Amino acid sequence: MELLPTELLLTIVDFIVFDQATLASCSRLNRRWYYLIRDLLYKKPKLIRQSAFGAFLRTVDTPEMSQYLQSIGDGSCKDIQNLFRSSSSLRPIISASSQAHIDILSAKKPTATRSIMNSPKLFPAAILTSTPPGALVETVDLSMLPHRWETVDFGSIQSLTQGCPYISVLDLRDCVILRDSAVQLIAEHLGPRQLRSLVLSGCSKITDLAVLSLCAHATGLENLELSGCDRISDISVLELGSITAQATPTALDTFSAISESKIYKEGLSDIELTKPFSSQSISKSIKSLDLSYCTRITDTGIKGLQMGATGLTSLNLEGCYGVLMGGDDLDMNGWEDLDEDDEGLVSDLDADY
Amino acid sequence: MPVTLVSLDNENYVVDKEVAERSILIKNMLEDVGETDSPIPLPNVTSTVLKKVIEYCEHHRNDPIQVPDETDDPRKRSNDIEEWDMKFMQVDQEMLFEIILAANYLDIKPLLDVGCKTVANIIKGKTPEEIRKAFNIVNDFTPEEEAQIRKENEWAEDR
Repeated sequence: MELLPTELLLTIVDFIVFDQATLASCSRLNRRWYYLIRDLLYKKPKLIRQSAFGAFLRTVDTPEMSQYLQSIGDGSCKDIQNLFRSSSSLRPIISASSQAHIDILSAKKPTATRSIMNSPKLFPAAILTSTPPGALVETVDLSMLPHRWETVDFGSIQSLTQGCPYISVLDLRDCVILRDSAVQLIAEHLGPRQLRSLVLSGCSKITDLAVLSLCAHATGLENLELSGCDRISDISVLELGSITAQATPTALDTFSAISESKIYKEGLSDIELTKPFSSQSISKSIKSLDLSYCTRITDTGIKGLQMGATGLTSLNLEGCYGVLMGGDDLDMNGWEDLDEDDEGLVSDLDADY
Repeated sequence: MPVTLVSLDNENYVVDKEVAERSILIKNMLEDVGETDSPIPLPNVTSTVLKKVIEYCEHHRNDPIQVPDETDDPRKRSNDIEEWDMKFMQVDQEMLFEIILAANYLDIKPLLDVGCKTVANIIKGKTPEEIRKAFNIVNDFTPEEEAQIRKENEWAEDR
């Protein structure tokens, strides 16, 4: 087996990639397998037991993660432009210079690991690689986790957002004890980095505050599901549809001022002006929105959403009894109402429309 | 029209073109060269392995060409191996990996898949120690590293 080239080992691994326990066994075989498997193992952890979720959080939420973020210059999201530029890439964002730094670190040269060796606490994997496992995590789907409605709390989210800063897909449906504070953590930690899809359906305790926080930070969000979050009102929907920069030349400064005070307390002002940050707004990135059974939403919110969220291709308004607008209104705005019943509450637009 | 294949150790094998063309490498070669009587050298394959590969191609000569189905959900992809192939793959480990290497070189995707599935099925459900033993894999971790990785992966080994 050791004679097979890496590409063939990967072909073999392809057949066990959904068998997480076997994958974990393989990563413990030797160094070669460890490096081969680690990314796959952590990319999309399958968390279907409470005990596994707890152990997972303990593995990723370590002091070494913040050290790692600092070492790659991502300690306070300073590298925002870089983040956006490579938003489509699957890897954690690493600038060229820090990549080189990491390459050196992972080359197992004893001298190169000194920055890590100097730290009093030695993270397990630091010996083998400088990348903590949490940095490899891209998708966290808790929708199969039993009792998440009573166990996934603010503390879990705190560990998760600190331990896995590069999550791009997060599914927290029916984690009902989560409040705005947890969503704010998600928005602030994951939003400016890689977050693309967030499912909060059934998290009925969250309010407009949570959505506003997402709008402020998660400027690359493409999918947001809030089904049954019935405290959400038009305020949220209008904010989702608002072009934060208002498309005016002066908006950049205004926005910087806002974001300085609200978002980036950690000294971003000088960088801010050179970044095309204001052109990023959730209304531009959002493609799919599930607002079903958000019963407080009315026509006012939806109209505002239509104005701003130009990239929206899928909108679920099922059970939004406050939304009364007929098919005509939607057509006028170039929206196609595909719903067949009279209420016209659901408009699912084809992606290729 | 028969085609002559020459192994690394200069053994000649005459096979039907249809059989030889299970190998995309050979198929492309024949297309490039056109009608030819000259033997095709396969300098990466020994005669014992080539014999085995030809046996596979003979048996599967009438199979429809496998269409790449990368759009399929990989979860649905089964690790099932049909009976004949299973028997065919009952070889010692050295041969198993030789077949995989040859299938890769000759570009015979179904044979490569069967080989890799066979290995995957051996690995499945085993502990690291069992896998190392099964494939003579040398553990080059220090005891500390091993303990640390075990701890790191604890969440995933919850069976």
